[in-house]
Amino acid sequence: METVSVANQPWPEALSEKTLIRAAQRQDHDAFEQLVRRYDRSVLRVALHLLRSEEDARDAYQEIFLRTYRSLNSFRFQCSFHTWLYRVATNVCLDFLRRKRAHRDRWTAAGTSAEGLGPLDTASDDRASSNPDSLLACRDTAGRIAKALELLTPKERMVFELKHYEGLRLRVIGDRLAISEEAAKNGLFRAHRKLRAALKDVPR
Amino acid sequence: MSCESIQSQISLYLYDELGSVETEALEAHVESCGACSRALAEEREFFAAMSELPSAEPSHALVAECRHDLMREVYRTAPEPSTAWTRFTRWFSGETENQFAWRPALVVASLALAFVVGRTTSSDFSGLFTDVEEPSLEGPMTSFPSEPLLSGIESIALDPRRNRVEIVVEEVSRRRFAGHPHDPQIHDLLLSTARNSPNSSARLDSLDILTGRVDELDVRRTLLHSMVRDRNPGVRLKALEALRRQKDDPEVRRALIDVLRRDPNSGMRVYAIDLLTEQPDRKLVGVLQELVETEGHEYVRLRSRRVLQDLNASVDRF
Repeated sequence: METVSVANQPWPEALSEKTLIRAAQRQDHDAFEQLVRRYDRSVLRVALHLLRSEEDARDAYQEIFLRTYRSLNSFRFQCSFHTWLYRVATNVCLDFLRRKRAHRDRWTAAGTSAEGLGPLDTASDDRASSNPDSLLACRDTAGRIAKALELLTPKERMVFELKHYEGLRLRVIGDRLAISEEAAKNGLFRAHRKLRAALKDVPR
Repeated sequence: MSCESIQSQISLYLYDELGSVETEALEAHVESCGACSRALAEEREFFAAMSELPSAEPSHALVAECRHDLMREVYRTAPEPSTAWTRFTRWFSGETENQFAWRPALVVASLALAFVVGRTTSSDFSGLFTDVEEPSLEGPMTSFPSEPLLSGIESIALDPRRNRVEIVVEEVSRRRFAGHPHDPQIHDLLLSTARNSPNSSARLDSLDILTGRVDELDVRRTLLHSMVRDRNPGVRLKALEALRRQKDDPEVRRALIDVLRRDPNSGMRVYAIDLLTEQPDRKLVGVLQELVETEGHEYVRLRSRRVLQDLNASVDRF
């Protein structure tokens, strides 16, 4: 039997992921923290990209890892931990997008303008900061892209973001969203068509 | 291949999602077709425009804060890990499946526990209360009738001539006490539980009840003891949260520095440095310089460096 005693011992970085997972499944919090540290930066980056809000990304981060922690005992090593974690992350972000969209639809249905300053309106952009004209143009473009992304359904948005900004293969995106590769491709096409229509006069 | 078919594949081409045959066909077509060549150029511009969104790379501070919040929540909500004590109590309550295998070890353990628990309860409290027949949860503390909890076998002697066995059994009884949290005896029991109970859930529950009285010296001392010495990080965290409002008290600050230097749990160290550095304090310079050099946790190290810079102090030790 494999025994790992880790109480109050720092985990060496080189310990195998399987060892860490098995220890975390036995409620070893230090082992779980090591697992979190291996992946949380990229998970948070994905959440920030998808949700475009630091506050939402923070909440999503908590939900992703707490959900992972609570269901860790059901992990049976049938896929890589990385794949499993990102599947959870994708589902949580998809739920966030659906809730945001439902919230926005309620506001719109109530006749209230959903327009307003979003996170992107105030986000800094280092690339353009040295040139005020460029800064204005960029913010305008970024703001319009953000608004255009809101036109997509949550699933189209997920497919587009995971493809365009994360560079994932359609097969992997399908796996994460529990849809076929063909369905992911169709979602990408629809997203692409909507964005092209919404952004046809964006300055380039 | 028709222009319509080619143009429908341009985005997949740019996303590198076409097979080699389709890729070659598309490239060959675009070279000889002005309309499709322009469509490809426009699509490239669209791709570039979509990259105009601000970078979403999370800052070190954001990652550290998220980790900190997460681990706090994990420690707060985690079930009690399986320890010898929890296995022991499960065995007695019949929860475990493999009772037979544990029995010899538990008889020995029961002797040790009988000794510890017996000493704690009898020496400190047994003379204080009188058993009553009608327990009441109102008014002064109530001591409920005792019931046998467990027994340990100290010795077994066989007398073959008389065909008799003599067994010396050590018994411990379970008693329930009930009363107002401010009742002096209940208060003492809570303090004793927080410091001495082998069950971390009981220690945590005691601290939970005591945290409202952090201004009282004995409660504060117990919280300090738990924050620095308890072996369970969840209990240490509970004590740290309770002492948060007392962060300016010199004794609490010394204990927080102890946590910062020695606690093996990074969540505790993050919490401690946040509390200690809310107000810049030059007395911390030496500790912070030490942390910049030795601390393994990124957030604590960065925070130490930033506070030293805010204090116009050297980041390095001489």
